Amino acid sequence: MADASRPNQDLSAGEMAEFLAVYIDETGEQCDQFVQALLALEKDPVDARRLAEAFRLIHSIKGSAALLGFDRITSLAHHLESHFERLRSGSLLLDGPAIEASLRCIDYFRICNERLREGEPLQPADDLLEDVKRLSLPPRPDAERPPASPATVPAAGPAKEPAPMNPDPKEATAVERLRRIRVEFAAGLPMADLKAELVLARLGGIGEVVEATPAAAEFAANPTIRTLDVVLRTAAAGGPITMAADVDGVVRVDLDVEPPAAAPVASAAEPGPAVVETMRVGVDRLDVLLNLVGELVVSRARFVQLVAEMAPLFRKTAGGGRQGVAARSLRDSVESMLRTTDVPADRAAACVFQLDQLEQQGRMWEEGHRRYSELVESVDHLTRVADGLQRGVLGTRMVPVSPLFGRFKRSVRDIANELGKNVTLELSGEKTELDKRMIDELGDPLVHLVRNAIDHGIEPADVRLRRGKPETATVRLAASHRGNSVIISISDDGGGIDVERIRERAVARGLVPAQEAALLGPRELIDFIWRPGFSTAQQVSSISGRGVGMDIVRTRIESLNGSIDVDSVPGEGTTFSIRLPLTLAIARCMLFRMPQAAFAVPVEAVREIVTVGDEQILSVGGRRVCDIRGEFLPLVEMDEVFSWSGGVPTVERGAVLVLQAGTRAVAVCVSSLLGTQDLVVKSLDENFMAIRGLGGASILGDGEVCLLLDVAAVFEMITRSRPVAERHP
Amino acid sequence: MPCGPRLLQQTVTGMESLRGQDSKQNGSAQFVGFEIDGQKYLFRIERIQEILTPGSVTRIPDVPAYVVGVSNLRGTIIPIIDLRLLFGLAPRTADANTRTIVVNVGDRTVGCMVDAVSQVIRIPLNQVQRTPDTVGADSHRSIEGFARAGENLFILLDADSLIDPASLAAAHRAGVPSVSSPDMVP
Repeated sequence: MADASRPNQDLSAGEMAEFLAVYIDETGEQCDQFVQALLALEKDPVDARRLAEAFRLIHSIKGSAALLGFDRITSLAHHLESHFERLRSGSLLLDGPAIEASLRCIDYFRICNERLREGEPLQPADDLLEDVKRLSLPPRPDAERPPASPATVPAAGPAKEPAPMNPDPKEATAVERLRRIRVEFAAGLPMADLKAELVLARLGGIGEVVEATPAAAEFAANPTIRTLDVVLRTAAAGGPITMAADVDGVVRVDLDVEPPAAAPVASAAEPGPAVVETMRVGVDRLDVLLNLVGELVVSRARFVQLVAEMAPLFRKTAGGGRQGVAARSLRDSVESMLRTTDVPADRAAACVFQLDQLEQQGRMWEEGHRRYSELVESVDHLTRVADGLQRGVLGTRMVPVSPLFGRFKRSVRDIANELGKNVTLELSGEKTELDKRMIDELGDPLVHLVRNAIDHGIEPADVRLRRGKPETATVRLAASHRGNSVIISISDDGGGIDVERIRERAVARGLVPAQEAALLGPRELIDFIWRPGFSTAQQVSSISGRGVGMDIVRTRIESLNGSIDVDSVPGEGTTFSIRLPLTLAIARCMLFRMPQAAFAVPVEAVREIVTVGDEQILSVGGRRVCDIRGEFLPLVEMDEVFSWSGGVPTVERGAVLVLQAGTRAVAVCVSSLLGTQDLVVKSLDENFMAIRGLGGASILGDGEVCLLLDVAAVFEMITRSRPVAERHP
Repeated sequence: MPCGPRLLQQTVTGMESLRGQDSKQNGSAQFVGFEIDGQKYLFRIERIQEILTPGSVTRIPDVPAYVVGVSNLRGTIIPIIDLRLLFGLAPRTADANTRTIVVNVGDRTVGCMVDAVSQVIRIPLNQVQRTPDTVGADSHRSIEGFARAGENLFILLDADSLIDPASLAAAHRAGVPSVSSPDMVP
């Protein structure tokens, strides 16, 4: 019984509660925004930006509802979305009835939220749905209201009244409610099973049978049925219900009974999973905290560095430590000399005075040493507190990926059903945590990738069998930590990316001349999937986003400072790997100095640090390539990547950093390495403008500004002028 | 040691109090006077956040030459623009008089390097003459008017159009040699 009141059953109660809280929060806000957009549209119905916003909002309400299995909301939102699609494309104009229907939909969504919060089942919205569907039809003056869905047993009890959607939740609940009905049959009643079916059918005529115990399918196996418990959603009053249930052989009909103790499934009338109470804190407030913590992290680093620099001054073996011993032995010898030899009194006194001074300095050093030890301890303590605070504040934004992954249990099944494929979903690493903002942003790209995997990756069953693969395909979603980043991978055991088809398509779309295309290798061809507009044929369905291409996926991931790579083996499958930083705010970076400025690059992007001798550098057509243990990598200078006004002194090549993004690597000459440090990333465009190749800037412990490289962009900038080596494992 | 810019005495609060008097004396306004290549200029005082002695500036790539770089202003990163270069004058080494005027443009904060900051002056508004249309051509869009105080003639600059980040970005896109330009390849 697919029913809005019985949400996605693949989810455990705990998961459900978690999603539900998120769902209620999100859709609540989206409803508010949608209403605002509508109100603005009422004044200016062709405001393209508002139309697009309304469309986006309704699309995302639909998506969330679909993932949780709220079919009624999904279907309503789907039709509303379709209407807004037409509005957005300009084929229809937003009119009064459409605004009115949209507002009623929003009211319905809000009522649903209320009911979900209370754990109550959702009401049907069939009339509203019909109204919304009718919005997109051409107006027909003779159009009649489509008849309400015919009752299963005609004329049995009063027909279901078309209950108009009412925006007031209280009144709405009065119109329709859940009734729990117990029907008792006479003992030894012949054909009791058939009578029970009749009762169900008659009740179905005045409402919707939500649940029956025993279930209708079990009647036949249970011909001596004595009692039947029915949960009915109906607007009908007690009298008609009793009449509908009271057929020949029924001895007793009870209304609104307690649910049977041995109810096998949590029934719809029971409160749903408890919604965890949370406090909503504006992201800007958390951002302020995080920024402050970032500053703290920077100044802690400065303290640690200072203490480390002071250490040699206070070492016992350093001058100060030995001074006390030296002063004591000096005093001994001076005193014995004064006893044995004739020294003028004033010179003896001067000697003793200087000795006193020396000893006093020694004591001061001792004092300093003691203070230094205390300082070291305090800095240790500060470090622990700062680390804890950093973890804590970051933790407020960190959530496990399991809710995100969990949503796919259902969508994979739905997508697979829709496409007629047999797919199981394997999840791993669901406990891996990630910045909430990233989780929010990852939903759409992941849906797209999963859909792609099932749609294009996995072969039809007969092909799989021919290839000796199990008929049921597997899609894996995995998350794991790697250093300071999280890797999320989506893999399938399908046929891999068909590079020949990409080649044809690239030529057909004029992206590359045919003769050039013939020379491209598989990797370069696969890179075409990231081109805007290169996405393969899209079907508009309730699951896929409309017109979300792989380029959008990549843009979205890169806007999170992440990178995405694809690895495909023909016949064996495809894996997309998304690498994301744990958080957007603080990045562990390798610092290096160039004549132009101090630079930083996230440590995850640094593959290795090497020294390169002149004999390892080759010049190929004006480009330099260096040989690093047999691997030839392009060697670049900062002034090849960026242009600097006012000229740049020649770089004394101190070290070479091998930077990597996915499978690409490049060697960069640097003047000197300054080590690694946690940096608070600040944007350049806050006061100025974004500069391609720079992911932002950061302030070092001494106040200097260093520039943060955006490695993915740097790669592209280099690639524009020269090919970047592929790493061949 | 932090090598960030040191605050001069003319801080925001100082200016705030001056501005307070401003409203009482209708018909005049306060300006910050500064000098570039011997010419005296004015910024409206409301635009000025503070005046600094130049601190450490980190160069940034792919920007017009007049963007000297970025600086750390108490944890915020602001661009520093050399008005000499913006006006097309020859560069000049910073000396003891060189100042950075921190200007608020919209919701952004930008530092402007000038040869010297002379004074905060009050000028009756009737002494401020709007730019004649003949001068108000494209390149002089940022000149708001002229003012005379004593024997000094000042050019009143409109900070908004002078250092509009959007127009800087446009200049960036239009005029900066890109990576692929042949002269940049060694």
